[in-house]
Order: sequence, then structure tokens, then C-alpha cells
Amino acid sequence: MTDFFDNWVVQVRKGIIELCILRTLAVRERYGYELVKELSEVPGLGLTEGTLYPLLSRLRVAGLVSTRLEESASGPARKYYALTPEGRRTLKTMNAYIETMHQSAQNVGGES
Amino acid sequence: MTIWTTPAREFLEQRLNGHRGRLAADGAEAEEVMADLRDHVMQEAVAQGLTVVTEADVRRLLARVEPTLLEESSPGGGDVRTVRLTDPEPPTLPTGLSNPSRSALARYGVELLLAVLGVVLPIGTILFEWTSRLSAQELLDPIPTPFHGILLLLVPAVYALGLWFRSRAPRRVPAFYPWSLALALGVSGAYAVAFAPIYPWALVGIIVFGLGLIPLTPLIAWIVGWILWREARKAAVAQHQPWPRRAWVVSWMTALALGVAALPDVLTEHLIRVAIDAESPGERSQSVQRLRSWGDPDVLLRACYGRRRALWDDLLGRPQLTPERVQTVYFQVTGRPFNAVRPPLNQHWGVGRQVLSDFEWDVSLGGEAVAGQVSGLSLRSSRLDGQASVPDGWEYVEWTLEFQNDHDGRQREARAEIQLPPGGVVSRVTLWVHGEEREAAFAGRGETRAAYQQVAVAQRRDPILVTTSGPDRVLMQCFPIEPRGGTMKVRLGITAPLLPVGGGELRYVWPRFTERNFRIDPGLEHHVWLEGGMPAARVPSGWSADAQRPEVLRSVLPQSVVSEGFAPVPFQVSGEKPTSAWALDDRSSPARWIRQTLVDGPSVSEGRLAIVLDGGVQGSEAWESTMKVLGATAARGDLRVYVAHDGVHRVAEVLEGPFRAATNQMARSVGASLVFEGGQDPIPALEAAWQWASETPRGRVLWIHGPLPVLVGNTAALTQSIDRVGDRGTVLMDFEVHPGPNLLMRDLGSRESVVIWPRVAGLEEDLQRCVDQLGGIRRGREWLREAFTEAPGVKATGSRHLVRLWVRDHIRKLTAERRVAEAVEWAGRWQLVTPVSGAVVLETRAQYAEAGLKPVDPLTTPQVVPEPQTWMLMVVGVALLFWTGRRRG
Repeated sequence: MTDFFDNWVVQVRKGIIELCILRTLAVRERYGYELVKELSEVPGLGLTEGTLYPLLSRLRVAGLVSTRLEESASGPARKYYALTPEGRRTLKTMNAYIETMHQSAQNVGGES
Repeated sequence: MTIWTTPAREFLEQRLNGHRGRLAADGAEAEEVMADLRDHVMQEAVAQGLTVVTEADVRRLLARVEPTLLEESSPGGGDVRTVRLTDPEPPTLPTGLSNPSRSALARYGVELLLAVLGVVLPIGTILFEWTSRLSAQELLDPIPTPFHGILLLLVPAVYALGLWFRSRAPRRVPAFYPWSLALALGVSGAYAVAFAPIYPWALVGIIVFGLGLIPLTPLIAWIVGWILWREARKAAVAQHQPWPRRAWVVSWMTALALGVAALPDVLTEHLIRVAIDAESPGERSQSVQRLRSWGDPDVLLRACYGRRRALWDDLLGRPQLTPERVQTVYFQVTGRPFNAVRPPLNQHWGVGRQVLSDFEWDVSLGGEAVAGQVSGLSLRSSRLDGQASVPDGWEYVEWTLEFQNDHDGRQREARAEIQLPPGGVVSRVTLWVHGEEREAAFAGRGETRAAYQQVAVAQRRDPILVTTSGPDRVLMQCFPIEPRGGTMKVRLGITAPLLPVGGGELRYVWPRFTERNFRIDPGLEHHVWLEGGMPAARVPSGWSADAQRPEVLRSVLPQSVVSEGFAPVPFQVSGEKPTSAWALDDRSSPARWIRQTLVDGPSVSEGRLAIVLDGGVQGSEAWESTMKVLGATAARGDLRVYVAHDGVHRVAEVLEGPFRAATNQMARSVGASLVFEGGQDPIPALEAAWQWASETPRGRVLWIHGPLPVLVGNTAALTQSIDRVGDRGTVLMDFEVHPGPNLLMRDLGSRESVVIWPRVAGLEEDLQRCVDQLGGIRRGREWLREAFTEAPGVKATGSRHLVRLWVRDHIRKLTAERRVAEAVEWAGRWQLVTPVSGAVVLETRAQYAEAGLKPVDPLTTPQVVPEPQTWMLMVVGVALLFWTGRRRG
């Protein structure tokens, strides 16, 4: 039962993390460290730095987020992430889909 | 400030590198993720207030940030199988290469390949093209300006810099590098696109012959540039160096700018083709119009010399355009003969390579066209010795010309079309062979030309040929002038009547060049000497009369002063006594007596007058002068004014009224639809004018025009109209604004109804005289030459030049009556160059014998000192015999 649940969580979380990243960036652009700190506080997401950066890189390669560098007085240059127009369109679609899924899942539960 | 110890840094790099493969496995960019993680760890260290970061700190931080980095990944890289790190082990190589020495070798090989393809090949190609001009002549010119050369050299320079940055650790690049790399990419990209059509042939060349890498160089350079760009950008991202987001704009802008710079060249090539090849006349005319507005004159001029990068035509399967056809377009566009301007050098401000120097290969060698100026050939010296008898009304001039060929390796033929004095004829031709004077043989035109071509072109020995080239013009050609300073010296003797201009004035008119294929330095001095037998009425500017002998005029005139011709010298004759002289034709049997008399010209007032003005750039000046002249003349009658401009424009008509009434109509048409531009075909306007003028008896067509180096239209209809005009006495008067080639006159040539108006003064003065005479308010004076078989009551003391002038007229008459053989015989007897005869000097007796020609006896040629009469020769001969007899005795 525990193994099954762990696997299920991994599968669900994978998609949700990407949705959360896009939703966070939809509000305003953030630099990587800031984004990790913010998302790692989201309960249940179980996000680590090692998980986030590959996802961000993949989103950038897919054209959903863009990056820019800004010099920082306290350390290395900060890399800011922002949603691209394509990212916004994808986020909208994802939101609609997750909403539908959620409603459908609720309805399915209600009927049983 | 946080300081990282070397072990800490190395440990972090080792951990990151060890997981490169896994990080890239799920679609992320490994370099980027590694950089982000490195950055994150550094920020954590700062956040935790660490001043010195040790390896242990890194282990602790990684355990918190990403514990999996402390695990060792499998050699396959992307597999999720991981093992807990117990003992430090050597990190897995990121590229999957297990042997470090092999990796270094491979990396060195890649760098070497990039250096060869990105630096060595472009530099080699640029140098090859710079020296050989191969692409410039056959495909497209990659280095049309020094600026292009600098841009091209920038490509290997930037790549070399990029390769040097790659070799350094860490791979940090200066801020200017992305911009310069973008520029280099733009340059190589633009050239890659320009050469793209030839790639298939280049590839075939490489596969089949192992040649053809040069056209591919821009593409190869662009690929190398793109690799360097990608790598440099990745490295910058990895090290959190800023990489300008808009650098690629520079690439596109550079390529665009180069494309725009090449646009006039491409557009001109296209428009030339349409102007020649289009089926509809409207389309051709429109293309010429566009060339006038947007065409590149240099490209057009290059094409006139056959430098069209014809390989494109071959590659695209299009018929090639001959230089002659492009020369026609050049005239239509610019209004000038292509050989009247200096050949294109493709140099800017004297800097840069000489892509298309001068006319290297003389395609017109031995032909009847003067064609373009050839490189190395120039006029070295010029001497004119003139003589005149004002009371008898003749002049004679000997023009001695010496040509020099400074070309490195090619023999040259000097060719020139020479305008003779009005009514003149070439009566002597001399060539210096090994320092000796050789006189010409005079024979049928075809015979002399065949002999010249055989000796000049085939045997490459020293001949000179002189033939007529339209009314009052001759074509002189001599060959070969040896390269590296070789010279050739020739002399033309010209007999002509003094030109009566009214008011008892006779003018001594000099010959002049109308077209030539050699250069004349503006500083070259013409040494001129004239013995007129009496002082000149006015001494022209720049001349001086001899203090002891005022009848002798001398001058040294630089070419810059006489580029439009030598000033005529006026002489005044008594108005009371009619000028008349007798001369004996002692070479004919039976002998004839020739009389030349100055008489009034025929009255020409009753016919219609049609004026045809050149609508090209050369006609603008004539238009102004014609307006002034018509406004000032008192002439009346029927007058029409046509302008030849893209067809026919009738701009004024006066019926039975004063000619000056035409000026208001003319003024209205300027600016409305009439713009003087390019070079125009006069034939449609001349046809219309001739048609109208010949409807009444003694109609006159006055054609006022600039040089006509090409015939755009067909002359068949015009020549037919002139030939079939019958006895209506219509005359076509040719009035040239500036001296130059005139192919229409060359075509119409020896017809009685075609007359050349002699230009001896300024445009307005000459035009006023011409219009007044044609309008019937001024009676012209002319020479009447008659032959008698009975001895006159007076002694025939006149010069043989009078006989030559009569023979010239007689030959014209015989030719009109189609008695050509008789005409040739007369020309040979009196040694004249006429439409039916030519003069050729050959080098040896064997050559003369082979050609069936006989050179003239030097004692029978005219010369500037008085010619010996037959009786004088006999006296000299007897005296010599007597003297030698006494010596022996």
C-alpha cells in the first residue's frame, strides 16, 4: 500500500510542480533561489533544488519560460525566470484542464 | 565576502560533472542545470554566512540542496539507478569517453578542425580571390570595395579569437565578443546565401574532381561560426555571464545591409537582361527607363566589355548576352558611347584591387569597329603639318601619329575614326617600318582589308589600313604595336577644299578624332604648323604667326584644349574676283583640265524644313540653341520640329509662317512630357520628318544630334524612303552637336541626298548659319569642280590637290551609277581612300605580291612641300644625267 501510494504521489507531483512553477511565475518574474525557497514551502509539493532546476531548464528549452541575468551585490549574478507568451497560453490550458480534471474527479467521487 | 577553497570548488565541480548525463536525460540542458545548482550552492553559502567554504561545507550544503549529487551516477549517465557514495571515486566523464587521453585528443582534433575551416580556409579563400579575381569575373564580386574586404577578414579574425577564448579556463569571453561573433555570422551568412545557387555544382566538383571548396567557404564559415556561438553562449550561461539577448539582430542586420549593398548590382544585371531579351518593346523600353533611374553605371559598363559573370547564365541555362547588345543598352541608358568613358576599375578612392582593369582582350582586332579602349595603348606624339593655297581654295594636312603600347604582354592594334575636313579625302598613307617610310598601296576596299587582315591578324607583321567610315570619315587601324613600350608611327595625308563660310572667308579645317581605342594623355602636345600662303584673317587663340613669315602659323596645343577639335584658321579672299583655279590631270589618258570655282550655292527656300532634335542627354544643349536660333531667324515657310525620344514627338509646326512662331510651341512641350535623357533612337523621328518634308519638292530634314555609337532601330525603312525619293530633291542634313561616332551616317554613307553640315564654330553660330541657309535667307557658297578635255586658254598652274578633289567627286558619281570597277581604277590612279577603295601599307614586297597590290611611288604622293610637276621631274632627271656624265668624262 505504501509503495503504491509513493509511486502515485511521484506521478501526481511531477505534473503539479510544473503547474506550480508556471503559476508562481505568472504573478511576477523570480530568480531561481527565490523560486526554490518559495515553492519548497508549499506543503505536499516536496520540492528540492535538485528537482527544480532541471524542470526550469526543460521549461526554458520548451519555450515556456525565459531567463535573464542580473548582477547581484551579494553573490553570483541572479538568473531571473519569467513566463513567455507561450508559457502563459500553456498555463491557461493547463489550469482549465486541471480544473476539469478536478471537477470530474469530484463528480466521479460523488456518484460513487 | 565568501572565499571558496580549491578542494571545495573541485569537489563541487566533480559532483556536478559526475551527474551531467543524468541532468540532461530528461530534456534539460545539463550545462545550465549544473550552473544553476552551482549558483544555488554559492547562494546558500552566502545565506549561511560562511566566509570560507571548505569541502566539508560543500558536502553539507549538497546534502541539503540536492542529496543525490552525493551519490555516484552509473557510467551510462541517464539511468536513475544510483548508489550511495561511500568512498570517493573518480568522477564519470561527461561525454561518456572513458579514456582521458583519447578525450583530449578528440578535443584537440575538433579545435584543429574548427581552426582550419573557420580561420585558415576563409583567409586562404580571400587571398586567392583577391589575387585571381576568379569569382569577381565569373560569379559575383565578393570584394567590390575595401569595406567588403575588411568585413570578410573580420570573419576569420573573430573566429580565431573565439577559438582562443575556448582554449582558456574558465571559458570567459569579453563583452564585445557576442556582438563581433554576430557580425561575423551575418557576413558569412550573407555570402553563404549569395553563393547558394552554385553549391550543387561545387559539391559535384568536390566529389568528381576534388575541387570546389572555395564557393563553399562562406557556408563552412557560417557553420563554424554557429558552433562557436552555441558553445560560447552555453559557456556564458554556465558561468552566469551575461549574453546579449539581441545579438542575433546584429547578424540579420549585417546580412541585410550586405544584401542591400549588392542590390544595385543584381538589379542592374536583371534590368539589362530584360532590356535586351524581353519580347515586348514596351517592356524593353521600361527596363531602359528603370536602368536610367536605378541602374549601376559601373555594372553596365563592365557588361559592355563582356564582363558579365556569364557563369550564372550557364548555370541558369540562359542565353548569354553579347557585349554589343549591352553596348546598345549602355547608350540608351547614358546617352554616351561606352568607349567614351574610362573602363571600370572597381577601385574606390584609389584603394582596393583592380578587378576589371582595362579592356584586356581586344575582340575587335582587325574589324571595322573602333570598340573600347584597350589597356596600355596610348598616343605618344602627334604632329600636324598643314599647307593651303587660299587663292586656289585647297588645303592639305599631314597628320603624323605615333602610338605606344605599355601593356606587359599583349600586342595592340590602334584604331581611330577620323573626321576629315568637309569634302576631304585621304590622299597619302605612310608607315614607318624599321625607321623607313613606306607608302601605301591604294586598291579596292575589299582587297586592302583582306591584305591587312592576312598580314596583321594572321602573320602579325606591320601593316596599316585606312578605309572610309561614312561621309567625310575614315577608319585608321595599325597592328601590331609590340608590348612593353613598343611604338608604331603612321602618317595620313588629307586633301580638302578650304571651307567657304560666307563674307569672302575661307576656313582651314583640321581633321579630328571622333572615336579611338587608345588613351590620349590630357597633357599630350599636338605640334601644329600651317603655311597658308597668306596671313590668316584672325590668328586663333593659342597660335602664333612667325615674325619673319606671317603666312606661317605655329602652335603647340595640349590635348585638354583640343579634345573637341583644333580651331579652324580663317583666311579672307577678295570678294570682287571669283576664286577659280585650273589644274592638269596628267595621270589620265587623255589628259583633263580641272577647274575649281567658288560659286553661290543653290537657293533652297521653297521646300519644307523638318528639324529632328536628339531627345537624349546630348540633345538638351541643342534644344536650347535651336530655340534661340529659330527665335532669331527671319526665315519663313513650312516648318516642323520633331524630338526623337522613345519614338516621335512633334513639338512644333508652322505653316507658311515665320519660323520663330515655333519657339512658343517648343517652350510649352518642355517639362510637360519631354525630358532629355539617355541615348535615343532617331530613326522613327527621321522617318516621320522625311515623309513630311518629301511631300513637297526640295524638302529638307535637319538632324541635330549627339554621337550615335549604336543603332537601336532598323534603318531599312528610312534608307528605302531616301533611295526612292526620286527627283524631288529632298536632303537630309546631318548636324552634329559634338564629335563622335555616327552609325546612321555610316549606313547612309555615300548617298547624294545625305549632306554633312561642317562644324567650324560654336554650336549656336553654326546652327544659325545652317538654319538661315536652309530657310533661304542666306545663300551658301560652294566649290564647283569641272573637268575639260580641251586645254583652257589659261595656264593650268593649280595643284594636283584640285585634281584629287575632282576625282573624289567623280568616284562618288561613278559609284552612284554603279560603275564601281571604274571608280576603283580612278581611286588607284590618284591614290585616294574613298567608299570603294582603301589604302594599306604592308611590310615587304612579298606581302604586296601575295596580296596582288603595288605600293605607290613615293614621288607621286602629295607632301607638305610643293609637289614636283612632271616637267620639273624631267628637268631634274636630265640635269642628273648630265652631271653624272660629266663626272665620268
